[in-house]
Amino acid sequence: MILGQLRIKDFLQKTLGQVRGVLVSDAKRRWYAADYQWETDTSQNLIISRTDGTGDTIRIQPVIDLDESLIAFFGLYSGDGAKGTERQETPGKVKVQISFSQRELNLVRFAVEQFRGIFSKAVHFVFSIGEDSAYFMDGDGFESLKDLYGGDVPRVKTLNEAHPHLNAADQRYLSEHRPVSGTNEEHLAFYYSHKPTMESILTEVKKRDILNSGIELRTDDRINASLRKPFKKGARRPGGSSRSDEIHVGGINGFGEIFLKILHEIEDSILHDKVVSTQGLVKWRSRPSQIGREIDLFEFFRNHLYGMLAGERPKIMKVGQFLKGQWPRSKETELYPTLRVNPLWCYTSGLYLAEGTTSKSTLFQMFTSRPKGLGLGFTSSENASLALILRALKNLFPKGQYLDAWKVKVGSQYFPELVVIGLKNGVPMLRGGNSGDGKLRTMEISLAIKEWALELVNCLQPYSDRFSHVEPTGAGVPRVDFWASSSLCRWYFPLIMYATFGNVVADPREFVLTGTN
Amino acid sequence: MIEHIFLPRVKLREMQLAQSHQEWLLKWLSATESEIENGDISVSHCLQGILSEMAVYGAPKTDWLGVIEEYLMDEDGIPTAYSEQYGKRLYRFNFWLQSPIHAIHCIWFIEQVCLSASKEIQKYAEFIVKSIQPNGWIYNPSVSVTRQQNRMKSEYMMSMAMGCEILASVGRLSEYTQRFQATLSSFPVTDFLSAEYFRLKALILLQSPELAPTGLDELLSVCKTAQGFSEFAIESKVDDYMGTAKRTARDKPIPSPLVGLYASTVASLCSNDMKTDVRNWLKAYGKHLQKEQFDIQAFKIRDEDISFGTDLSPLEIIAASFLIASAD
Repeated sequence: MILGQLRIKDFLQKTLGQVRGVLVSDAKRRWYAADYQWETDTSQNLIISRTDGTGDTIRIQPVIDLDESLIAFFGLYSGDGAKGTERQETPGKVKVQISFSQRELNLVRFAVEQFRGIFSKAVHFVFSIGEDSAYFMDGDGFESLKDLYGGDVPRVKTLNEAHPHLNAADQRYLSEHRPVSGTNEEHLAFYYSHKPTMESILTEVKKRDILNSGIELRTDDRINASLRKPFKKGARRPGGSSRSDEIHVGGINGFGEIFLKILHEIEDSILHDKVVSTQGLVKWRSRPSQIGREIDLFEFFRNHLYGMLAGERPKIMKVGQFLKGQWPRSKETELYPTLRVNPLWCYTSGLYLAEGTTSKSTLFQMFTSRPKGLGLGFTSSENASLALILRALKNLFPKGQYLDAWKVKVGSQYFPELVVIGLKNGVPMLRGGNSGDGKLRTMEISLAIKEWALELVNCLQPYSDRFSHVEPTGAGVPRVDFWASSSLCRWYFPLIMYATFGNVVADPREFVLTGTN
Repeated sequence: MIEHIFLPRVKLREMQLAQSHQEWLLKWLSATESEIENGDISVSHCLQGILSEMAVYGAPKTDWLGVIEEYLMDEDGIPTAYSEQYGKRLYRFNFWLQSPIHAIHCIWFIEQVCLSASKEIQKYAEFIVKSIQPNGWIYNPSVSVTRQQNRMKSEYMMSMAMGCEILASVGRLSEYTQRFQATLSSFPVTDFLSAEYFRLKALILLQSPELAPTGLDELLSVCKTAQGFSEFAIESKVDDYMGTAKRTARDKPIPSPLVGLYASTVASLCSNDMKTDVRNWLKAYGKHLQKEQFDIQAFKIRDEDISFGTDLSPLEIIAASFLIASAD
């Protein structure tokens, strides 16, 4: 169903091709700017290029229809997509490159199809797999190395033999300290001794994945591997993995700022429920909250393919103004009788798929095999993302069931700040759990951080009494994490999958099952 | 003269508070009064309460021991960090009933101030002895089971100093002197001023400040901020595993009067040049605080202009007044 339009031509005419915007992510406030020129070809398509002469020239429709899947795609990109990198010479200004971090194959295929839908033939992809070379030092990685060498891994050369001319990055690597066995010199020698072999193993893995996903590779699409020196990417021990998967989108260089602007105008107009976005780039058919198909949830869970999990359906009945339902082996849950698949629902479906705490493989497997260990939770450092997800959940579940409790996760680079907060309050910072990533035991620190969180993420004000604790964690800026009862998952997940994929995959049992997250 | 470990060099009963600081503390005490009425209290509040009263009035004015007895003792008479009501400030926080070392030390301190000839003092010392871990540090694993390498350095240094103080007060520290000296002196210099201050405090109690690590001059140098001292240098935030600098380009060091006091103590073991430098730097900071009496900030996370946690607290206010008075 078409819910609105991206009015590219009108936007460029109105702004005279000046694309400006503010990017808020990871507690950083940055901005982007680019100027474009355009003309119209004989088929009324726009030919757009940057006025500074850099980047590609692309051909795009003047108006692009926004259906459920495309809106969900922007939600997905909002979570997993690259937003831009800052350059030293222009502090605060980001240069936007379009790329997408995702490993789950159904989502990769979905993203590729949506990119192709927007940019048509202009677009091509580089599917990249990143890994820490420490992965190949032991376990599965070492076994794959052995296989490729035909059974015996050749001895690691000395560093001087393997790589006689060290560059600045090598020298820096050698001077760093890590609490792992072996010396930096040995690790670097391992890296240079086996680098081409490790890269070819990774490339093969990625090729196999792409083949399995059903993505149709075009001639200019590429697959490559990005191998990091041992323990530089995040592996904590020999054999440890820190895999990451990226899709770099080519053929549309220089178009990132417009893409980001589209994303921001979609999100902003949904957040403020505006028919037309601030710069007119997005126009919905009516107020976003009031458009979209209305689903009869009673019917959906009784008859729709997306309403069936591993061959099972819930018991569901109408009680007063609500539905009461119960999945096998799960707790009874109350639902509103209908759900409008409006832009909010679609956008947050994609956003949850990207950023929700639920394992992605579970979301795709649940239609064919009995889901286990489901959990509903969401983490973000941005008020807008949390506000949108909570608002969407509120449209499905009455009576505040959608939020059980919330906490603040603080990455290790901010532990010293937590210690100082403790000192100011006359307490030490006492961590929980063996590795220290459990609930912070010092209430004074948690309570001090609660005030910060409520100011930053003010959509949580109504739930201030549900704040549970601060959780010290591996890395990242302080961020808010909320969760709900797992009994809600079997109702929520089928509906977000339907909103995202209902237009492109009629039977959810046809999703590619990979077991990867 | 009683001095609290959190406020080195501060003679609370004799101190001159800046007028605005006195007013701030009175307001804070008044708010605490109603929290006590509701039984909504923590041991750290009691500590800051008694320190504030000593700074404002020269002596305690509240029956802190009564408060503690009513709300902050478990069934076995062991001090606890939080009252049951206070524990409800966090949603379903099942760990509110806990007896960390700082809670024991707090009550021990309050008893010292109130000159209460407590027979409990031996009990507190025994609690400390039982909390000495095989790794040589003092902490209560039933509160936090976290492995030593994942605990915060300032936490176990603080607990060690507090444990030493309690044991010294009952004449039992000598039994553990060499063991504690070995533990403290084997640990490399940290990147944190409070951790080094607490280590030094413990070593002073063990009469062996010379066992402090080398490198304190450098630590003080890197923790110097435009005004005063910060607990840590932003550049020292390095990922333990990857060995690389963490992403901290947007973070700013924030000075703290309290940390200034710790810097002053740490400097006592440094070169004469560093001692003079720290003294002059803190004098300048005191003069700055005289002009901007509430310029005691909280951290900010990157570009978000929202205080990340506490800015002002009784301990910071008292430390600031002390620095102002010392600057003249």
